Amino acid sequence: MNMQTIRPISRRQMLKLLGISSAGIALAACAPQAAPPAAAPVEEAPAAQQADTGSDTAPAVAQGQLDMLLCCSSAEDLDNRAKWNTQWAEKNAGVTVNQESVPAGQNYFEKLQTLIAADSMPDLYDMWEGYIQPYAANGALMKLDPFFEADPIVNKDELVPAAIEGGGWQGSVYAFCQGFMPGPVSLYYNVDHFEKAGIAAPTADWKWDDLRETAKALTTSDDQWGLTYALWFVPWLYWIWSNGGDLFNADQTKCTLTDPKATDALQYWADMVLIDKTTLPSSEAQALQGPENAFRTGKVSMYLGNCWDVPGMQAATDENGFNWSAVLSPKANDDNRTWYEHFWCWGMWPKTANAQTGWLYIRDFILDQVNQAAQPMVPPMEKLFPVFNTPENEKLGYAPLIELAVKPGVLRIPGAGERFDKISQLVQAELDLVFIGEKSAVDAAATVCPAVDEELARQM
Amino acid sequence: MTTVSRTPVADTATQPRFHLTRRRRESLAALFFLSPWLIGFVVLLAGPMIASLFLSFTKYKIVQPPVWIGLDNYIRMAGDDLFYKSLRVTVTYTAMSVPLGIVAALGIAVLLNQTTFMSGIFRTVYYLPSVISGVAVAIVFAWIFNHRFGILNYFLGLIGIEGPPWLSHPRYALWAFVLMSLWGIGATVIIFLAALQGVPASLYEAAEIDGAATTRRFFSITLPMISPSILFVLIMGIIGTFQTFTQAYIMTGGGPANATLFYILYLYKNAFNWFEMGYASALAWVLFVIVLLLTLIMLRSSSRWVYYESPGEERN
Repeated sequence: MNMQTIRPISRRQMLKLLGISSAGIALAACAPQAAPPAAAPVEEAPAAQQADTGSDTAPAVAQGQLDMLLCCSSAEDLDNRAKWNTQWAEKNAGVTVNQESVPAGQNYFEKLQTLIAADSMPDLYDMWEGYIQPYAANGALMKLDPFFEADPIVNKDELVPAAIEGGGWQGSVYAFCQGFMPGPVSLYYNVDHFEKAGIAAPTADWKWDDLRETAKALTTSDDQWGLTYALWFVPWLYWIWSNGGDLFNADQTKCTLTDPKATDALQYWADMVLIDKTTLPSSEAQALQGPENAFRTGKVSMYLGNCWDVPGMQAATDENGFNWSAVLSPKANDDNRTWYEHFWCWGMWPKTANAQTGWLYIRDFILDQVNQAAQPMVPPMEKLFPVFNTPENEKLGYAPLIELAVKPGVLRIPGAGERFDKISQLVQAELDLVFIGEKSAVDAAATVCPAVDEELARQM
Repeated sequence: MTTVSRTPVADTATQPRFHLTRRRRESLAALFFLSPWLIGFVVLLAGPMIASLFLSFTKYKIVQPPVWIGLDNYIRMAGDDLFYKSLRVTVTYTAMSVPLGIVAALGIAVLLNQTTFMSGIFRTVYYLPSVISGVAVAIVFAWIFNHRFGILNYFLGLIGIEGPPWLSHPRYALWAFVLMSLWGIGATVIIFLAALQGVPASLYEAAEIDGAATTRRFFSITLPMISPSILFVLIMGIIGTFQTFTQAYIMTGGGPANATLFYILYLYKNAFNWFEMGYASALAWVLFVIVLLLTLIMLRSSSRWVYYESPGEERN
């Protein structure tokens, strides 16, 4: 027989206990959660071995609730995806889809990293270029190669090189890209301005000199500028790469911005602002509520922009009869054109309990090309290219992208993984001075390269 | 089978009865009512502070567990150009905006202290901007400073001055932030107004009888009498400006050419954009030490310039 004696505790003891408990709770709450179990990139078991597949012999049936976090989608896009989710859940009995979105204008990756720290990640999440390498390297993305190997419908060999480079790290695929687009893909132009000036419409074969001369012809004294370009997503990489230069060497150990091919490209574009005065400087772009708005409101005749600008252009046409068209962005004067590769991918949390369900979801989502409704994208597999061959995309001049997409070297990502964002800030700070005429591109490159070298050399 | 044996009644009777005096009951009640704040302090403030102190000695990328690296983050700071740049921007901003804000707020408070039939309305009007969110203010000021259409350059144009590109040129961007800081002086105005109303009228009357002019009365009576409030505003102003973030994040992102790379913005970029939460924690603690030292210096020096009517009011 156990004898248990109840003893009253004193008030002092009670207060001590409360204090210690509060401190313990506080420390426990604030201590960083162990994120992924391993520092190394996560290798996931093949799909057939996942816990939620039911049995060894059962087909890969999706089960359970699938949580996902999306970024920056419009209400219309979210609605479209929600409808598709419902249809997909109906086809996959026993699975429900819980879709959450971080609104546009908020820092999606801040939210994602906070969720990682709290170890409360969703099963699936949006990923973009620039983040896949660091997330994969730090074990925050599941390796998808085993799923490709086990899947009867898609395999890794079907992915075009850009999709492998964009969604991959060290030869493996860590994010399944829904599609990708070059940046800046289009030279949008104001048809009325061209007709009024009697200038022939641009073509996809234009070179920078054609652009520069036309910008001069279209710049007028009554506050009409010839050209502007999107400031998002490091526009200077397109200039440098197309001109044969680079930001750093192939093994990403040395800044190569001082190469004349790089500095010539930067100075060429700066001169269009400073000497020709045909290209909208950033101060003017800001004053006109951004370069895209400056173009849509007729203040600028040509605009180098991205695929997601199309809805805004169409809205301006619907509202004000804005008369615009687009061709592919021009080539450098040596006939080369290398774009920054924007891609929109699915990533999977390595610790998800719904790996197989997640894989089936993203596979079907990509095969159905659900997000083509949100923005036109080159699909990641050739068998999906017909989805992209629409009259609308043809009209936008996108048709050649299908051919270009499978050529290596046409689309690039910057590299340097998690270092790139900081490096781009270092470079941008110097370029700010170049584009207001305080420094030459040569001087700016000479100033920033040691800092870039230092950043590349730093142990992460 | 487990049985519970209670202490016999006779035994308990021999023990002193649990009794709370009135004072203790009051103390317990006070603790009870303070407990939400106490728990909030421990969980939301002290806990994260201790955690960030620990993280400052680690390499912590958020997406991986922290790894202890000792003082490396602090040593790295010594060779970090952007750390110095952000510190310089913040100190410059503080040195310009805090004194300017105090002078402007004091001037307005002196005016509001005059008894007029509209004084209540004016006090409300001056305080109103203080309750508007920082994001909204940043967006509004991005318009005000608009190089082409902004109302500021419009007014400058009326007097023949061509307004500069405030937010897109490194020479002017920080000045724009200094001017913008004046928007939020309403709370300081209220503090000064309260202090001014606490100055005994008898002092002014005596000075007037002695022939002191208005300026003399202001510098010899008003300023000394409200100097404790000035000290408070100065310390809070310095702490506040060292934490400037929202405006720079919304309006310039730290540019152009890092001209508005405030310390907290740099810290934020390290934490959430560059996978450097450990380094960001170290930056936070360095900022804490800087602000603490400045506050201590201010408090130490206050015995020379802050006047307390009775010695017991001294706070240093």
